[in-house]
Amino acid sequence: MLQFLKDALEPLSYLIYTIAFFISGYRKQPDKRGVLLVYYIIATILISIACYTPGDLINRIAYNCFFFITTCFFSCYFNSILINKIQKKIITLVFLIHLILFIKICLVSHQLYEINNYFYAFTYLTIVVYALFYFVNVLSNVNELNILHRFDFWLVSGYLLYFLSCFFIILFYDNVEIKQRALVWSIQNIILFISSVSALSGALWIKSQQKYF
Amino acid sequence: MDKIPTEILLVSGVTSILIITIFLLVIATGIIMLVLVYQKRQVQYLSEKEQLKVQFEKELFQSQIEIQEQTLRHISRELHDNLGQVASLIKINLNTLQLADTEKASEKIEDTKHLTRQLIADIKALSVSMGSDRIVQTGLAKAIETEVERLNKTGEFTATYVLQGAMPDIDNDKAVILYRMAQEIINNMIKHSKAKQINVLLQVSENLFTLAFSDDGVGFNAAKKINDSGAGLRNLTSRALLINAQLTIRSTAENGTNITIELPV
Repeated sequence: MLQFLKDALEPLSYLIYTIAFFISGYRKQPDKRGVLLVYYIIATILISIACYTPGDLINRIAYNCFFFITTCFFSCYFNSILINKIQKKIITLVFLIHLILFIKICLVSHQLYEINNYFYAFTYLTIVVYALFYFVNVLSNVNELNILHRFDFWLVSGYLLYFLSCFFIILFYDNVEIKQRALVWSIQNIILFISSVSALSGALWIKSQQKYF
Repeated sequence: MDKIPTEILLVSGVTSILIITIFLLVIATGIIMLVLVYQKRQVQYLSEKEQLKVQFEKELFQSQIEIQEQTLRHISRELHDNLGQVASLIKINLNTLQLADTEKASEKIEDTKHLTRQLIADIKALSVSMGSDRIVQTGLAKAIETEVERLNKTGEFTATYVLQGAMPDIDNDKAVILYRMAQEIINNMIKHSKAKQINVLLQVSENLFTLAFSDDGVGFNAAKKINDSGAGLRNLTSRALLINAQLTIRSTAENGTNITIELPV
């Protein structure tokens, strides 16, 4: 069971996210949802490789690349859904910092084969900040549409849930004893799974509402 | 001091991570719930605001129709009772004019001239009282003053009109509603108060425009009337609410009535 939670749940969650994006009608907003659909397809493949390839080397390279592309795609997505110019500038700045860090990890420090938990934690923190930006945007630009009819809200709520609650797990993962790592990683995967199910539920609910009205 | 085994330390480390994770999970859920509740309240507020706007426009339209109807009734009555009578007198004067008797003829011509001047003045007065546009053209104070003059003309009441201070700029839509409220109050005083004296006071202070009406009539139980289904008072209350004005009614049986409308400006 623990093996399933540790290895299979993560790619499965990304697969659920991909399905949610297909259901949500990504063609309507290719610049916003199309970007994330591509991200989730890449994430599903990358995480599957990381989880099912024996040995640590491929796993670590895959995760380092995964966290970097996460920042790239999320920066692009949030940049397209946010209106505030200052927030957009912060997103660009944070993305550039990530880019510099990734180049440093790859070329200067040669740490692509290691667990860079501070880099991962920075990615998590970045996405938490992006999610909070989105909520500030939602609250300062209220319209009469029910917020639950917005797929972005379901999505960003899931992101906040996952990236905020798993921040300490990712930050101290390297310090956890190897025996305990499976347990800790499983907990993170369960939260990821919950957020992906929340995105899928949101997509299905919005679809059902569109049928009725 | 005994050394704490490394395993216990690691286990407690994992436990701490799990506790913090659960804590952050609760915080994230809280933030999402807070956003949901706040957004729902904001949507509700916007919807109420929109509803109030629609109600205001409806009420404004209704008021304009009522004012126009009243004006037409007034014109019809004036044409029949006043202008018609004066025109008839002119016609009689001209029909009975005997040019042979120069002195009498000259007297009748003078009388006819006077009647014609009066007719022209009455027609002018009537032409300015066309619909709610007159409030926009002449201003709220002048429109109310005309109402008071009309009241005096009936001879049944002694009506006074006092304006204290310079009239502020009141939005046209609000002025129409205020004028309609003033008409409603004066009409109610005419119909129900059995008063002899009616006073109208327009007072302008720094941030407040006050429209006060008082009479020496029989009065009524204000609290009871408002709670009853009296359409007149209910209309007044809802119209005051629409323009964010404060309506105060003070009346007791046999002690006359005081009504004030206070509008922040």
